[in-house]
Amino acid sequence: MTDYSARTHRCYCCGKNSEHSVLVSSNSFGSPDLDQRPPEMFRSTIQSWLQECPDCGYVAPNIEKGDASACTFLDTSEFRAAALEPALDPDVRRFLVRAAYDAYVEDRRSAFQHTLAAAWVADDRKQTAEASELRLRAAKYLAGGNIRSIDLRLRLLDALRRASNWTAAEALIVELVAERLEYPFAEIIAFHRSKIAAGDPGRYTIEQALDGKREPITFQDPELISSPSHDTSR
Amino acid sequence: MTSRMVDTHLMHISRLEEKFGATSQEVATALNTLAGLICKYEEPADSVPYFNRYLAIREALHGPGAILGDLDGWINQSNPVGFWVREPFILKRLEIKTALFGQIDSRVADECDELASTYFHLKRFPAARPLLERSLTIKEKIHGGYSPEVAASLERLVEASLRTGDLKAADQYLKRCTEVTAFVCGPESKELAERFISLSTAYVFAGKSQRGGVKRDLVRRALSMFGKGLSITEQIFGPDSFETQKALEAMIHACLECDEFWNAEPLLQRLLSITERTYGNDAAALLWILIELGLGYALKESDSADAFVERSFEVMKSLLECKRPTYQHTIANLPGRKDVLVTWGNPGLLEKLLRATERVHSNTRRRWGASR
Repeated sequence: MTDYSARTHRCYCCGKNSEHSVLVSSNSFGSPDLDQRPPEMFRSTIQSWLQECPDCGYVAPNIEKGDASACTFLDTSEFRAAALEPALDPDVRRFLVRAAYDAYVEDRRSAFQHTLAAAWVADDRKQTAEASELRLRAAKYLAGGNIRSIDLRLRLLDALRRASNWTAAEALIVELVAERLEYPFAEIIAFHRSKIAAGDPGRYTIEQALDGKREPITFQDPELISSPSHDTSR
Repeated sequence: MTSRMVDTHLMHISRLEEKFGATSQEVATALNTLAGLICKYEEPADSVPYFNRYLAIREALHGPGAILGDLDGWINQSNPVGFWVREPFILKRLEIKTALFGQIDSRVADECDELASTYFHLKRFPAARPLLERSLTIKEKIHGGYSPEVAASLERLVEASLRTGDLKAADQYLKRCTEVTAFVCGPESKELAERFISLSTAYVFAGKSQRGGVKRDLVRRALSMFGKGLSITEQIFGPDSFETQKALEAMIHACLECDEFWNAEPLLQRLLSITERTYGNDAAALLWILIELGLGYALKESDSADAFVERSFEVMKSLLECKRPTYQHTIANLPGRKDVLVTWGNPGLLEKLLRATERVHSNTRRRWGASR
């Protein structure tokens, strides 16, 4: 069950107090989307994932926490551009401000994730064009870099497909297929490929993508199991 | 089994006994020589009966004070025997010092402290505690209740009480220890900060042997104490100072050792940003912090692990690609160097990184629908 609590938080950057609705508990049942958006009930708590100081505009998961870069960011043109952007929704803007901060501290992965979250808010508001634009914006944060994480590339693939950027999505699929990935990654990539071929930018869950595909039985090498790297002691 | 050398000496000693009597200086000297030779060339533990006889004769002839020097020499010899062999002699030395100098004497307190340190090292905490209590009583009488010596004794007693599971006594000693340190050194002093940090790590370690609520309470109080110590350290030396980094490092290691990753995590993040600011984004000193974060997140199945594991490999790559890589036991003390590749420990950094990688991979598979 989802539960919130009203709390007063002191802003790390300006030191002023403000009231916030803090997510205390929630749960998730079902399969996440193909961009790892969680299922309900946690899915609908998206408005509480970030807090914003009403005085200085500092945005963070908890505005009581931060570091020196969080404060210096508030004096940058990047912050002003993001904070003053004529966004569709305050929730979208909050995610975009945080993404701008992530980019400022060169955390491309988080910048992508927060911009994608902004797209999720747009999805919920049925603002399809804005959601596509935000997904393309999220993808730009990962452009030009050598990304090795399978997790991140699968999220990117879904973002590109849902923004109908078929060319970039197909190029990413070629890259991933060349790596001869195992279950369930290969099956998910194949699912995306079929949807791209059909020109389908729709929302699907992981469960839907893997529907009817059986997980292969794998045997682990007993020597690997007993290797020191599997030792549970720290 | 005795060697030929020992047999020859024993025959010589028996002739001396016939000539000068069993309790004579000549026999004592011969026994001491024999004990010394056995220590040097044979199994040192075999010398104990001869050395004991030597001490008994010397004590009978000249009194207990005469054997103190002999005990010192034998206990601290260059070919040391195991502690279990030396222990009765150390206890005897303590007994003699008490008889000679009285119960309240700094030499007796030093002897108690030294023996307690050895017991600590051997993890014989119940044996260490009465010695520390005895040392504390002496120091209180000699230096007064509010003195640096008493504060130091109280600090060790906190740890001994924690290690013996006597949490009530630990709390009482802790209260007195911080009061005395604050009185002697000042409420904003570096000494008080160091004491808070050292005691807080002791409380975290004590939590390792406890369960559930007791463990949580110990860790919670430790973190509160650590916060006080860190705050004073930051005020004195600055938030990014070497002293602040060392304090963070001490608490991080304590928390990680006790499987308290979520308590170590904010400290690791803070140390990471300080280290990045101080030494750069690809400095060797970042590696252990990144790997601990990567492994910790991976074990807790957090998707933050991926980024830290990836970055760990990037930092390691920059180390591997340096022109003249060298191998060092530790990189923690060589923060600015990029040419340090490996740290050895239990387990080492490479091993932790490998484990984190495997865990991230299995977490990722599960997140995308695999059942195992």
